[in-house]
Amino acid sequence: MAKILVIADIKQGVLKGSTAELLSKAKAIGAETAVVAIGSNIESLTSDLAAAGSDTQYIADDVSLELFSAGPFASCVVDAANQFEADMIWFGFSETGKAVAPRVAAQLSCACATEITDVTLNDEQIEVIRPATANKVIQRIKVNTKQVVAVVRAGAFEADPDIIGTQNLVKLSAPAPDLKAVIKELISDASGEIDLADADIVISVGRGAKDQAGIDLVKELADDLAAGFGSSRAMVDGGLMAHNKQVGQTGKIVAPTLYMAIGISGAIQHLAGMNGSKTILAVNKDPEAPIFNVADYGIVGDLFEVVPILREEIKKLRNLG
Amino acid sequence: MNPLFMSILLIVGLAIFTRTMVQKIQLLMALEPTTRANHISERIKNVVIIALGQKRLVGRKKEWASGLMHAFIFWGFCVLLIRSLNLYGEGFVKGFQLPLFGDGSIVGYLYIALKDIMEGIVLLMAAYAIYRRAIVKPERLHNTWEAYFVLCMIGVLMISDLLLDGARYNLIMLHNNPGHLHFFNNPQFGSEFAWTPISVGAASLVSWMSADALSYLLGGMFWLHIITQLTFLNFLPLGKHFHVITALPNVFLKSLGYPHEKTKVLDLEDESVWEDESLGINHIHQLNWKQGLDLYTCTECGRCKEVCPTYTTDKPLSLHDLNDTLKLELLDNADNLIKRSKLAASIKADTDPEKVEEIKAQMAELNCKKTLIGEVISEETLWACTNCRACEQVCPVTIEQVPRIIALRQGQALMAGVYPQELNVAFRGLERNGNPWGIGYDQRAEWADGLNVKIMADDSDVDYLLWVGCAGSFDDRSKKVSISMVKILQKAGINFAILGKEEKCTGDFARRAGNEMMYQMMAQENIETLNNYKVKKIIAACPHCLNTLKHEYPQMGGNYEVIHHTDFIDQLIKSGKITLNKSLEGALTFHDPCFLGRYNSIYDQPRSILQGISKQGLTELDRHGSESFCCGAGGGRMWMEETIGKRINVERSEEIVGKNVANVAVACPFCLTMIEDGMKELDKDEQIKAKDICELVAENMA
Repeated sequence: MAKILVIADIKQGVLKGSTAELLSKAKAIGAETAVVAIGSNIESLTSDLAAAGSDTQYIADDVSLELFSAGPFASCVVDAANQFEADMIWFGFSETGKAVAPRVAAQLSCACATEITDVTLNDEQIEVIRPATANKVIQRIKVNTKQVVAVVRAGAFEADPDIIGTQNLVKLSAPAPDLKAVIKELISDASGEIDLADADIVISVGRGAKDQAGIDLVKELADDLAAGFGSSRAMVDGGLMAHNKQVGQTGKIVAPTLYMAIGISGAIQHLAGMNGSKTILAVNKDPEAPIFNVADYGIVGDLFEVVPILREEIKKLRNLG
Repeated sequence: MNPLFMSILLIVGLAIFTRTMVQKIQLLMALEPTTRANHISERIKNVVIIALGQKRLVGRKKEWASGLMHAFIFWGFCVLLIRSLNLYGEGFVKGFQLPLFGDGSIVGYLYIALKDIMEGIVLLMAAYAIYRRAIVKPERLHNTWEAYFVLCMIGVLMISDLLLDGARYNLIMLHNNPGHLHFFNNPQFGSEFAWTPISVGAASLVSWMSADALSYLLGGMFWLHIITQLTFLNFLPLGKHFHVITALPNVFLKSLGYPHEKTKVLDLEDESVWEDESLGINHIHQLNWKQGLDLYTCTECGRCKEVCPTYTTDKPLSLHDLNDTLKLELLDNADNLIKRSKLAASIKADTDPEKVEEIKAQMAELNCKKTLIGEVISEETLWACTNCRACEQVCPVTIEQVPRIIALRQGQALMAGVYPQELNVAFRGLERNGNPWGIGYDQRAEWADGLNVKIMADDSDVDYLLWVGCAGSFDDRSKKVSISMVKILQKAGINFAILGKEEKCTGDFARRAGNEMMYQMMAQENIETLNNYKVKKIIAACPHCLNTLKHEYPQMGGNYEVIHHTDFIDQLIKSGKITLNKSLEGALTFHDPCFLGRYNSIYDQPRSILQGISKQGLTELDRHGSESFCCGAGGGRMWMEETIGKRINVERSEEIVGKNVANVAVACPFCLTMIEDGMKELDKDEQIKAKDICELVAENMA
């Protein structure tokens, strides 16, 4: 039976859903699973890790591991992989995963496949599937090393709540500190606002909002939905919005589940930054506005009238739920 | 006068001058090669028109006064060269006369008359120049003590020579010529003083002096003139006045056939260029010698920055400072560079591989250490440029700024890997989908659905290929331009086709942003497609596409006759295939796109079309034609953020708004976006409609 080691994705002491997704998939293809969790004060997560579908939990718990650093994290993963004799080592799709995966592969002298969407196992022969050249082609790659490190594309696998594992804690010793890189400070967006790139819903405001009052109105809608709040270039040029809020060719490129373009005409510069969104809703006075060409849902109307109604209706629906 | 003193002065003066010049020339020779020794007759023509004729100084209406001022000082100096030779002769032989310019012929007389009048004019002009610098203070001028010093020297040269002649006149006419001084007195043409009114005027100022005092004055003025002249000569190469010596050669050596040196097609397959890090310019020794000569020649007149869209909107790029900074860096490294080039020459002679390695190591030691971008020039300065060429168009000494900026960007993009990150999105779009927005390439021809437009893949037996461009294919606003163009061509019965899915971005912006690799990729693919269909004639609706297809693709084996749509429509109108009804209401103006005007000299055709459309005729903007003001989107700027200073498109839009027009015609998709955005920004988009010329034609066809 193949052995798959999954790297737990832990953010601020909480286990992220992607860990269960990967473990469910590993079990579903009939592998023996283990998970490696790295951090400080995380032993309490052992039962969660088992519930997510792992049969062995390798835990590296040390004060020195509180802040992410690729070198020491990679050493922990390699340590766990060797103890578990893993055939496959799976990372969820995250910045930290992308940084650690190639280091692990190099240390184990094995292949590294990124952004994979599927894995098959046939008589010990591992095959991974990954899209390439902007999803234009799908690659099927046969891996010719004994082991393989893989970074799984976000949302590629689904978690199955019925798949659970067993608790079997193995403690890992803390790795030697990385002398090449020392984390001195962690700087995060001080505004506490939702990062556009991470947000599931993004609401952007354009010239139709006219001034600060219009922006505030749309911002309230964004707050209601816990959505990221962005803007078109016009609002940034006009000094009404900060540049880091600009969605478009020369700003942020976003692809949320729901994108609402409020008062944005949809110049190509803006479309280039959001047309990968799953569902697009547009509100604009001008029925000819090009934004309606890419929108799944369109409301022709003045945002000053439409947005309050939207908020009202969303509230009603929530109360029902 | 005094042959010994004259000899000492001449030997010392010329020896120092020769030493300086040899160093300056050695430094140029140590730089990278470039070929300029061709088309001699055309080069001479440039020298006659631009340098001797002072075209860019007297030819600018805005600055005709200062232009004439400079021109007269220049022409005066040319005239006075002969007089100087005569004076040096006088230092050795009393009564020396140059052959042809002596008192034996009318030429000599005409010359002294011209010299006399010129001295007066130059003196006046020098005084005006000082007044202008000190009192008027035009913003573009860089006021330095150097400039005043040179103007004063010019004044001294003129005054000393006039007083010399004045003293002579008084001694001869009032004191019976005690020293038996020579003067022209040919019975046929009379006394020389009848020909020299200004000198006679100067004489009246010193007529009160005794004969002895006049003799001293004469001698004093003579030596003052000679010493000032030699000082002047030696002062020239030290600063901006070097242009007195280098301007003529610089104009002679200017690029021909294209307004500036074309970007070199870099050999990216050659591994050694990557190893030696010799792509583009990262260090000063990577300039070519003509670029070095440009730096020597900059006169610090500031015309470049005055017309620069970035400088005038408070970006950190001041071209005159850029020249100056690079020149200082070049001069700081002069000794090492000259040594380095001597080593390079010795390598060629040496065959022992060990020795060659050793010399190479020594050469590497002498390389300029400073990285130009970052250590000498800021990144913001480099990336501000829109490549609009306004600076080059006004430069009186034909300095080529843009190719140098592109080469510096190549150094950043290819070697250092440091460039504005927004560009990555556009580069990725090119790489994957052949357009900077990264929209699926399969949608490229969707705009033409239902228009009955031929696709080359289906039928390539056509007279013209219509090159649509990325904006015309994907941008909703520009698609309307493409549709209008199709209407015009169909109305005129032109047999044409488009490439559809096979068309890709020409790579213009990638090249101008320094990403030569991306440009070559796009160019190769497009040329292959075009050559495959044996395309001969191309109509392009975008001046950037036009420029690249017409001037840059031939470097890589793509040779086509490329016509801009305004040029083509103008021909259709003139041949009667299209008739316009003069029906456009409201005042109309035209914004000249840089890559149409300054790069391709297409100024008249758009105007001729627009005259036929507008009831009220065409209102010109203040900055139009060859001095048109950029929209801000050239040189890859379309794909970068403009975060410093005022937005260039707003500056231009304000100028348009100031003309009280109802319509502004453009002829470039970038300009269309920028001007429309500017109008929205100013809340004038309802009052002033920006349209491409071909939209206006399609709407006003009979």
